Formats: sequence, structure tokens, C-alpha cells
Amino acid sequence: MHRPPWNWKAAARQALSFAVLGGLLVLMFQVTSANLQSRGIQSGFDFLWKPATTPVFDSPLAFEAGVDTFARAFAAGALNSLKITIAAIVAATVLGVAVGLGRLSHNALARALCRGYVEVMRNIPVLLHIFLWYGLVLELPPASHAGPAGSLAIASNRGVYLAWFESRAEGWSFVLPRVDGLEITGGIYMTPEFFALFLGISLYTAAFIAEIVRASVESVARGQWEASAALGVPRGIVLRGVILPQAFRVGVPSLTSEYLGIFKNSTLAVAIGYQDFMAVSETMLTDTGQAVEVMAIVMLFYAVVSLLVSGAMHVFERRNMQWGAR
Amino acid sequence: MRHVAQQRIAPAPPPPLDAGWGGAARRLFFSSPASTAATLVLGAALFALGWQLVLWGVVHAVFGTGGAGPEACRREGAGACWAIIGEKHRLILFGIYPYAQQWRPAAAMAVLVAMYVVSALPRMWNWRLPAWWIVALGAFAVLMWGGVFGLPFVPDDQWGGLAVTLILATLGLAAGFPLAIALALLRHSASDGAGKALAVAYIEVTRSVPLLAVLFLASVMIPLFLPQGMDLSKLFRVFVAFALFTAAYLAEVVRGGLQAVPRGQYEAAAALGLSPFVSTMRVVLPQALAAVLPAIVNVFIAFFKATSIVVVVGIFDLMTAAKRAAADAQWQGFGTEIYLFVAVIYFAFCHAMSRYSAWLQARSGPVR
Repeated sequence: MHRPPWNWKAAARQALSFAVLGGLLVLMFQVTSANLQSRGIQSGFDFLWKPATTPVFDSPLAFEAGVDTFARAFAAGALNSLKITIAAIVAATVLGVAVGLGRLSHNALARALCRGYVEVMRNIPVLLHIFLWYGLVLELPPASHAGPAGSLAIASNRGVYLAWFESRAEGWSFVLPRVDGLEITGGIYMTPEFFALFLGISLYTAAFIAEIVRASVESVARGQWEASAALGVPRGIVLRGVILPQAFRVGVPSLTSEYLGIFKNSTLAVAIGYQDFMAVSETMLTDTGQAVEVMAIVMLFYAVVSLLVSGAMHVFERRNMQWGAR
Repeated sequence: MRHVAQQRIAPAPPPPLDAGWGGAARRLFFSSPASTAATLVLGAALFALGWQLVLWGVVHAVFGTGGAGPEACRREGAGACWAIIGEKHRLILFGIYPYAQQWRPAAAMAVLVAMYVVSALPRMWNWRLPAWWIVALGAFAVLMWGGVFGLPFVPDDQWGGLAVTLILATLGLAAGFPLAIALALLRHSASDGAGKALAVAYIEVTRSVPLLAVLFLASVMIPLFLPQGMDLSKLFRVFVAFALFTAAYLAEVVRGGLQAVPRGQYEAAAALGLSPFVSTMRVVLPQALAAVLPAIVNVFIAFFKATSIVVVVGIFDLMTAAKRAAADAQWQGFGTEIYLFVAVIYFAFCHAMSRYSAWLQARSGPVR
């Protein structure tokens, strides 16, 4: 192998930049530790194993304040983050694909409506969507007046109840939510905070996913449509069997970044008080005062999940490309 | 030449079913049974929903209180309470800026909006534009802070509303842009080294964390990093976070433009004896930026919307102002109207930018 000759000038430049960078880091570290000492803040990650005083609600991981540790609080928050992310990804994808295909419809009314949806939704900040839905949910009637019995979903100002399967003594059964005096029972329960966050993020991201779907479908060569039509295949089957598999490959990278966007936007939970990872961390920061450690954990969590997902998608894409080449 | 026609034959009219308005309507809305069904279902849904909205937003809406205060909106059967906008628009647009001085943020916003329009015109893209921007930002600072020309001084923690949103977006992007170009050039450079590794790490890590985490980092950690006795205003800390965050996203866009510049351009510049610096600044960068201009505008749109997140760290921007207005106990229950009003403002700015981006894209010719 050919090796370039040793370049003293370039090496000196590299060494100098490393030295300057290292110097800056050392300086920053010294200033920070002096600041921390003068404020009487202790450092280290020991606090993780001490009991946390602030409760975490509505998490898949049960959490009791004063008993469970900070580490468990972080885990409960992380699970809440993943819960909202997965729910919003599913809803945004379903709606986004529907709207995106609607924009390619033969029907002018469907095209216009889907176009209007995309234009309006994506030009309004996602936080505003969330506030709007949160305000609307809180304006709903109280549980005792929540309406109509026997429907698949009951919404009240205490949250939304969806019909779902439940395991009973006699086996699985489909349970409708019902008003029971001042309470609503049965089905899946979503708090107003979760519901507003879920709806806001899903409706917002669906507009972007719709654009990705449209662009990917349009990127498939016209000849594919024409060839299928010439073979007498119905339009619906052409779309499912010929066009979408090819469009999917084009859309995957953009879709991945939208999904990561959902994950990152789920931190807006802080604004309405849903206890996701970010909100829990903020509470822990106030409780312990250990800003450096808590912020390091926050950055690590989001960076590791994002980089893992985008890395996995990269591998998936590479394999996908190989299928295409075959 | 018998077989050549002697007079022009008029084109045959289209089949009567395809002609005129009826034909167009049939083609657009009733081309097949499925299309007809879609038109009927969507049309019925649209009509029902639209009618409810018109009833709520126009027919039964309360446009003025007539001196009755919030009670005017609480009577039986009242629809939207647009009167609250009349009541609160000063708070939403100007925040807690001193009431008698609110013409100043209005003028400052007008200056910024005028500059946006001027900068959007390709005809104005020359060396005078940055000079005009410096003048405009100076005018903005004088109008907002005051303290000279007989204007009373207003500290920046009393600024608020739309003016803060606009200046945060403008300055955040303006400061992020040079950093983005530096990062993109470093990452694009051929030789490996400390600079390139750092640029890659910076871009990837910043893009993988949420903006909110960076804002928290800025408001919690910057005071810890600074030597004691030195402090920065909250608005300034958030502005720094914004610039650093935007730079990572812009850098990726600029890098896309750098990759689109053909190798021959570098080689031709080198063959003419231009130094690497001159060829980058005068040959490569202008072409790279021109190629990705629409994408840059799209990043601007995303960050204009993202400024709303500062509500969480307590900066009084447009979103915070809306939240504050909606939280007024006296007017409780009319938050929807306020949020819709603010949504219209955000929509106007973002929609204008996205149309502009589409126009730039069309102007630069067909996509290869």
C-alpha cells in the first residue's frame, strides 16, 4: 500500500489543535468544579441508589416515592418516553400513509383535503398542537356527564378511555368503557397529558410522513404503473404489490428521521406535565442539584437511543439495497 | 396533388360527456364508482364539519364584549369568543413590554419583516445586503432597548411576544450559519484529523439529542462553566443554545451542497493557481450554497417553529405569551381561541417561507 510521506506541518497542526482542545476542557473542568464546590453541591452518581422523593405517575414501572431509588425513577421515565414514542409512531404512520396516498388519489376532493391537511398541520409548531389538544381535553365534560354509554371511546376531562380486550376469569373479552357514577371504568385509560401529547405529535408528524409517502411513490418510475396496467392488474393491487415495496425502500431513510423526530419531540411532555424521561430528569435535577450528572444522563439516554436506531436503520438499508441489486 | 386536402378540417369536438364543466366535474370527482363514493362520503363529512365550524366560529361567535367583559362569552349558546383576541392581542404580540411604549416592538418587528422580504429577492443578493442587515439589527436593538434618542430604557427581560420569537429565530440562524459552514467544510475535508473527527462527533451528537435537552443544558450548565462573578442573561443563553443546535442541522445541509459540487471545480480552481482558501470561498461555497438554498429555507422553517420550545425554559416568546393569555383566570375556558390566533401567526410565517422554498426550487430548474 502506498503511504503518504510523513508531513511535519500537518502533524504539528493536529497536535496543536488537540492541545488547545485539551486545554479548554481542563479549564472548563476546573472552573466547573470550583463553581460546584462553592455552591456546596456534591458530585458523583451515588445519588442514583438513594430513594427519590418525587413520585412518577402513569408509568408501566410502578414507582413509590420515598421508597424507590432515583435509578428506578429514571427507568420509569424512560419507559414513559418509549410508550408515547411507540404509540405516536404507530398512529402517525397509519394516518400519514393514508393522507400521503390520498394526495395521489384520482379524486380531486380527496387530493385537496389531504393537501390542506398537510399544509395546515406542518406549518404550526408541534408544541402549539399539543397545547391546543390539552386545552380541548381539559374543556371536556366531567366523568359523570361523559358521553354516550356503549361507545368505543369515552372522553372526559380526566382522560380518555378506549375499548380494549381484557383477560377475565372466563377468558379474553372485549370491554367497553362505561360511566360508573363519578368514575369511568374499563378499557385502556389515557391521561389528558398523554392523550394531548399523543394526538399533537401524531397529527403533526403525520403531515411530514404523508409528504414522504407521496414523494416516495412519485419517485417510482411511471413505467411500473403503466406496465402493471397493461397486464390488467387492478390499481389497488398495483399499489400494494408493485409500487409500495419499491417506494418503501426510497422512503426508509426519511421515515427513520421522522421517527427519531417523534422520539425527540416527546420531550415536549415537559410543557404539559407528562412525566417522560426529560420531565423526570428535570425533577431529579431540582431535587438533587447535581446538574452535571443529571444532564449527562439525559444526553446519554437520548443520544444512545437515537444513534442506536439510526445505526440499525443504516444496516437495514444496506441489506435492503442488496436485495434491490439482486 | 389530389391527395392533399384543400381546406383545413376543423378538429372534432370532444365527446359531449367529457366537455365543459360537467365533463371536468365528472373527471375530477366521479371518474369511477369508488371515486364517486369517496366524493360523497368526504363531501358529506366536510359539509357537516364545516357547518359546525361556521356555526361555532362565525354565526354564534362573540366578536366584541360590548363592555360586558368575559360574561358576554359565557351566555347560553355562545360560540367562539373572538372578543378575547381583542382583549389580549397586546399581551400576545408584545408580552409585558411597557404598554405606552409598545409602538417600539411593533416598529422593530416591521423592520425585521421588511428585511425578510428584501433578503428573499434574488436581485438584492450582493454585498450590500449584510450591511443592510447590520443597520436593521442596530435599529432593532435601539428600538427595543432604547436608552438613546429620548427612548426610555427597557431591559430584555421585559421583552416578549412575537418580537422575541422573531429575533430569536433571526439571530439564532444568523449566528449558527457561519458555524455550520465551518463544520460542513471540516467534515467534507479530504484529510482525516482532529478537526474532522470533532466536526463529525459534534454534528452527530447534537442531531441525536432533543432541542429541549440542549436548552436545559444551556440554562443549567452555562452558569456552571463560566468563571464566578460572570453571568449571562437568560435570553442570551437560550440564543447561544439555539445557534449551536441549528448549526449542526445546517451543517448537514451545507455538506450536501458541497458534495454536489463536481470535483472538476476544485481541480480547475487549483489549476488556475487559486489558494485553497480562495477557491473554497469564491468557487466551491457559492455553488454549494446555491444548490441547497431551498433545503436551507426548510431548516429555517423548522427552527422558526422550534423557537416555540423556549416556553419551557421561561423565555417570554409568542408561545409563552399565548399560554399566559390563556391562563388568565377571568377569561378561563377560551384558550382554544387564543391558540388558534397564534397558530394563524405561525402559519403565516411558515407558509410564506415554504412557498418561497418551493419557488426557489422551481427557479433553480428541474431536479436532476
